[in-house]
Amino acid sequence: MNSFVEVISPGNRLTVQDLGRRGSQRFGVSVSGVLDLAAAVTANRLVGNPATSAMLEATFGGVSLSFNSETRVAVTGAEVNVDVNGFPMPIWETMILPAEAVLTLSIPSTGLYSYISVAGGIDTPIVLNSRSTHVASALGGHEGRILAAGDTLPIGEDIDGQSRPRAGTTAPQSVVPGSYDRERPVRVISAPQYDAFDDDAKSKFFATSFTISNLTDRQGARLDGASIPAIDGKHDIVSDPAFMGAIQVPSDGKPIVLLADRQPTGGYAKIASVIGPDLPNVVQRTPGSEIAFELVGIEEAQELARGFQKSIYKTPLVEPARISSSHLEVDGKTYNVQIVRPTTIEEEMVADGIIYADIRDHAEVAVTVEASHE
Amino acid sequence: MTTTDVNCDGGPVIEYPRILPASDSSILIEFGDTIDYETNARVYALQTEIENSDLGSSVVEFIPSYRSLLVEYDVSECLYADLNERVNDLIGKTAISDGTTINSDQNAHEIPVAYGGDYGPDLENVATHAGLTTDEVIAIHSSTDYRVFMLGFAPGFPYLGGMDSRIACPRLATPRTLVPAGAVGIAESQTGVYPNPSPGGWQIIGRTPMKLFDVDADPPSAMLPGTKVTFVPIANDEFETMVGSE
Repeated sequence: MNSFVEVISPGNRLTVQDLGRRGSQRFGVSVSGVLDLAAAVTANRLVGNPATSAMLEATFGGVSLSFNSETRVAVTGAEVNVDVNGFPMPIWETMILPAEAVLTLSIPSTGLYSYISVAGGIDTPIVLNSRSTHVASALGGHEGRILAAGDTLPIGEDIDGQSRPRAGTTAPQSVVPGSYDRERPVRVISAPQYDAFDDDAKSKFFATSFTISNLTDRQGARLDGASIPAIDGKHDIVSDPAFMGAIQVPSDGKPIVLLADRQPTGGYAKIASVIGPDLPNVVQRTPGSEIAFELVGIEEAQELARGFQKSIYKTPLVEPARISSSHLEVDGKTYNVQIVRPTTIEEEMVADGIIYADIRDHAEVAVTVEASHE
Repeated sequence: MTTTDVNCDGGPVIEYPRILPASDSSILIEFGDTIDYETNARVYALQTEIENSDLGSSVVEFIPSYRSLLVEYDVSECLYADLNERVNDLIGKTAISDGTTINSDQNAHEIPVAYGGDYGPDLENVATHAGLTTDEVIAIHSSTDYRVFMLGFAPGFPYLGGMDSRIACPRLATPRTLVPAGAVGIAESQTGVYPNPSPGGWQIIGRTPMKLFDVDADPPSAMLPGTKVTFVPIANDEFETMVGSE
């Protein structure tokens, strides 16, 4: 049976995204892709996918999904309440949902974007090397558009299920946003048109606590709070390459941090570039949040970027804690039963074919069952 | 090789080529700040040099523009300081003589265009602004050799150089929310074609039935940088026939 996920409620803006459509910007094609790299990569790791697998990106929660068959799933990103068939479940953790499960995300208490990964990845068609949805150009994802209630998306084959992370596996603390310091200024390096701004304008840029505007979207975070004038009002430049995290200042002086759906080229002066490690902290700030910037040098920025890459791709996941264990004898065989945590269901139970139905009917408890040494 | 002085107005004078970090994982090489074929040719010559060098494996992708090249790279593979040095060496190897243009031996792409009427709702505007008849605007627009400088703004959208300044016209005061695929437009002294339906503020003078961007083609864009382009007027019923035959 083919596995699929059905959208019951798409929330604000639910799209299929992966790490972005790379290599086609020279043809005018936007990269798109996930906004919060740390959360997205972690979501894929938690279900045992390669970093490049496609997942769902939810905007401000409010999503409800159903899965036709047993599916390994993880939710990361914004702080939302998740429930499965009405039972609360943790985020930043591997879950195994039984067939016909309904997964629901609340509105977030902090943060904006949630990532829902599934083992095998969302298997929509690859367009120019990526499954990412770029809505403005109607490319990728599901029919190039935002998902709607009733849409059904295929899930790729979950091969090597046994070697994937177990239910209850959690993300390392270093990538969970609870450990981000939201009050900390966002670090930037100077961008190519830094000297299109005089010392007063630069001082103003770094002294201002900006507010993230309601007009913020996947293309850019628009900032209110101060107008940053270019020398002689020269905000327009000959159209030049644009890139993730570039802070451009159009003629109204209000900075815009360019994000995943940006166009590949643009004609406004760029004063600074947000460093990669601080981008999750920018994209997850909701409209109305404050944001300030701090200048660092390129050497420091690249050292931080390397540390960030290592942190999100290489930091080991945390194995599930064993809460208690006991022995169980079925048909003359002794099994080692370990209660992992409430409301998670381990795949070993399916493999061993025992007490599974009973556990599912009483979904408050989950166990791992392993054949003990005979 | 890069020096920055201050001119008498107090603004910075930049000496080109200039290499600088754009972000923690991209480097920008600027060859000037003007739109001309020679500067543009240097951009693509450097891209080719880098692609053919051992740096190729660290490159995530290139964004070439009118006058600069952005190279996005994997920061875990190489750092700015090393890349700056390597790129500087490669610039020295790119011999571009004055007046060179890329792909200069290519034949011109002929783009059939149905001008005016429903296909070109702003043709009258452009004619009025230029003090010409609509036929004269069509004759001027379709008798020029254009060249693609870069693609940007939207998938396959070509920035074309070489338009006759007599038919230059400001953008619409209020951009349209939807411009159809194939719309041929004018904005200031630029002309271009919208490959896909999109919002847009250019003055639309005609429409081509030709498909300019196809995700299943390799490359996906019919008009690559350096390509020569001419527009060939067709009748409205020819447009219908050509669309119908696709």
